[in-house]
Amino acid sequence: MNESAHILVVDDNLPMLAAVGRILRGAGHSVLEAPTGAEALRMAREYRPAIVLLDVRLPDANGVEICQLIKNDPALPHTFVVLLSSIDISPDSQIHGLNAGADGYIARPIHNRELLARVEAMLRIQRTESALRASETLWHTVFAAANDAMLLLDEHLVIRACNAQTAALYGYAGDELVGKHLSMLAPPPHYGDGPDYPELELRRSGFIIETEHRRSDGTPIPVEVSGTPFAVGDMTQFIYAVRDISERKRAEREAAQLTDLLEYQSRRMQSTIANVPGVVWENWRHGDSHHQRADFVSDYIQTMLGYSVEQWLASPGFWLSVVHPDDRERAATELAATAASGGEGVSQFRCIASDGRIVWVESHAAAIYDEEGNPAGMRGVMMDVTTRKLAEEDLRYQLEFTSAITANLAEGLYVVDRGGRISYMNAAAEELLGWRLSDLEGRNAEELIHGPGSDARSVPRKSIVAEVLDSGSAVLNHEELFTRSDGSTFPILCSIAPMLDNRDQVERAVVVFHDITDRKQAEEEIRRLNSDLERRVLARTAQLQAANHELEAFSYSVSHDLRAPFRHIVGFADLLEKRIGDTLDASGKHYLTTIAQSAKYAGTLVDNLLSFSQMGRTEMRNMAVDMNLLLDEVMADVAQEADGRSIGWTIAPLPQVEGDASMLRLAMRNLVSNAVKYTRNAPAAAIEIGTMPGERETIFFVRDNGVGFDMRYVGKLFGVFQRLHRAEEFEGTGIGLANVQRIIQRHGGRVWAEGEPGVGATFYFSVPSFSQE
Amino acid sequence: MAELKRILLVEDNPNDIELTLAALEENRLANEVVVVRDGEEALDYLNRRGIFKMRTAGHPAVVLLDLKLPKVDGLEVLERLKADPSLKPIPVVMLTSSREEQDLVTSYNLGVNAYVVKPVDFNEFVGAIKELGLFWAVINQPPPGTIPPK
Repeated sequence: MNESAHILVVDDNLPMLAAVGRILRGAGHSVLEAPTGAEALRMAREYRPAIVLLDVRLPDANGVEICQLIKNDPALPHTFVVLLSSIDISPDSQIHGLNAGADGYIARPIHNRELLARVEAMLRIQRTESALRASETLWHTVFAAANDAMLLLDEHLVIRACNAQTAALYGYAGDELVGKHLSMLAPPPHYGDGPDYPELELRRSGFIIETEHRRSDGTPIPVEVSGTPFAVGDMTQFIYAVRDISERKRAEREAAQLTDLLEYQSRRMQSTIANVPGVVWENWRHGDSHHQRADFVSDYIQTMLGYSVEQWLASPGFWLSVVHPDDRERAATELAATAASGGEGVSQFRCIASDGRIVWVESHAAAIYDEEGNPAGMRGVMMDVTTRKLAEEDLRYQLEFTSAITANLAEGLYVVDRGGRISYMNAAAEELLGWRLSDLEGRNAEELIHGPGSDARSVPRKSIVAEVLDSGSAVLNHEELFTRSDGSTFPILCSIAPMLDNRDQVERAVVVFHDITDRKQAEEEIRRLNSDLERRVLARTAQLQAANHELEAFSYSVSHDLRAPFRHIVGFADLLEKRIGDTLDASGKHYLTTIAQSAKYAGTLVDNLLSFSQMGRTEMRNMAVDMNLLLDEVMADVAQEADGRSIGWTIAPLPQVEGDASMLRLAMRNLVSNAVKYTRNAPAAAIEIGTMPGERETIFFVRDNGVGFDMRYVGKLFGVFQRLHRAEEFEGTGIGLANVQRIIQRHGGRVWAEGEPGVGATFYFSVPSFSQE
Repeated sequence: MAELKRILLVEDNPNDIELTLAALEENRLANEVVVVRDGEEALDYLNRRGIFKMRTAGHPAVVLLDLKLPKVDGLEVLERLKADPSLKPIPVVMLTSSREEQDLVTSYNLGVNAYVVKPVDFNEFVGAIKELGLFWAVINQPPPGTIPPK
């Protein structure tokens, strides 16, 4: 309402009209004059004055009626009508007038100033009213126009008013809600122990809460309720603005989900990066500068090089400073090249860790592009390849090592596959074979080496290599003939071993061979010598055998032919003696006797000689010999030699030995017989036969207390036909001990003797525990 | 004295013959002794051929056989004798100087009935001959076909 509100004065009294007009205008008001009721109505309708000062007495109408008309006119809702009356107005008239709707009744005469004051008072009221109306309109507009549901609640939370949105939000018709309690829309929330409507606690302040209301169909709506209390007198009323926040809630949920997802993804990525055994890094270009700064580096940098993420990101050149000075330039250049190429690149260089260790780093870098496709930076992964590098070094060393070995081998070495293709030859192989590896490229070298000149009897080489490759086990010390490039052949000794390739398959074999020409020649030589030797041995054996045969024949002859004449001599001497013995004198008899005796002696000699030689030639029949039994037999034999003499025999139990029983018997017989013979003159002959243990032999002895012998002649004791006593003292041919020695020697034993003239003699012989021939 | 049967003495050495006969005579065993001088004669005699074609039929009670003989030696005579079924039963005694084991082995393998080595000592020789003669020519029952004693 502007201040220049119109005042319509209606009076038929024109001077009065003008006067009032003047007064009002003088106060700065805008005045309209109307002399008649009809005019008043017209002007009222046209100008919509704020106040109508209406004279009750009008020519064409009753002022009261006009008042009613104006007041009832819907187009003039806010017009004040003040009835002016002239003199003598009765209170009834006033009452009548006021009841008719007049807003005031002024009785004239009235002082102008009073009139003015009243009018202005009314204007003020009007202004207030219109302000109120405006405010109400505003409120209604706001109320109605609000996006949210707006409710006016009284202090008991009964809905007094609500806007259309309310109806829309809750699904009720507008008027359904008025007069209903808030609980119809908002079932009491359950705040646990709290009050049902916290609003009631919040009378002094506004609140905004999120809660759940209920639609008419019972469905819940998440809402945001903004409540504002306002005091009306001493009552509090509330204005609620209720917003359906389902969308928002949904959006919030979605947002939350997205956030969660994002977080989850982020965590996952973090975790992934953390688990990369390498440093993940990103450099972005900043501005136009070509220099990149590390924008991101994963925590692994700490583990790998001992620097913290902060350190790494601190300065752009940090990473380069960590690179080993010798590798710095190259590393920088390589990275720049990768960046420039816009693609990907790998670079290896050494870094110096924070603790001074040298770490071999392999950096895979790739360019990053922005949305326009321009290079925006680089990203990559750096990995610690120290172990690998060391392994490579090792490998290189091994390679050099084995190369050195194979190169310097005196033996030839080559690697061949199933198809006979040779992939490697060492220098020795090339030299021995006369082929160079390059010459053999693509050819079946096996056939060439095993070529036409080789020995047809040797197993075809292909099958040996194939065998090795199939079985996976090596063949060692295989002899063969190899063919040189010039066609000549030479014998070799080789070993073939399978080689595992990097997939643990056996596809190739290593052949190591050496020239055994020399050895072969040596072997040939040996063979020749051996066969020579054998021939000579055979020849010699034949000779010996021939000699033996001769000897045997000789012995045979001797035994037969030589004894006969002696027999004859004895026989005829005897016959002679029988014939003419009586006629002979003592000498004659003596001569004859001597003849016979000599011949007998000769015969005995021959016998002894024969048996002695037999001892050397007869085959020994070895068995376990019980020396006790053997001794018994000997004793029986010797008994008659003892010839009735009493001899003190001391015979110890004798062990078993292995030997030829008959020979041993003869030996023992000779010894015992000797003991008996040579104790003949002893007053109390004592003969002891016993045994002594020895190392790996059994020693027997025959001891007598007879005539003994001089130790000076002990060497002659066992000689053939050697005697230490005169024939007339003791008979004998001197062959007995020689026989004993021969026999015992054939058994592999030894004989020896001890003696003392006049005291006695002891003869020892030993038989080895295992017979030796 | 029991009846003396015939003895065939195969010996080439005249001295040995004389000594053997003397030994036999000493024991009165020499009556029925036929002496042949070599292996061939021995075989002729036993087979009743050659110069002995007309001799009395029948075998000697024992053959005293020396080893070393001219023409056919003792072992061969033995072998042939023992190979001939009609002559095989005749007792053969090797009477020889040889104590060679090989001779012993071969002789026994061929089936000789006894092997006596002539001792050098004449008395012993005589004793041996006596026992031999006594046994073979008197005591032993010869196989059928032997010339009966006179």
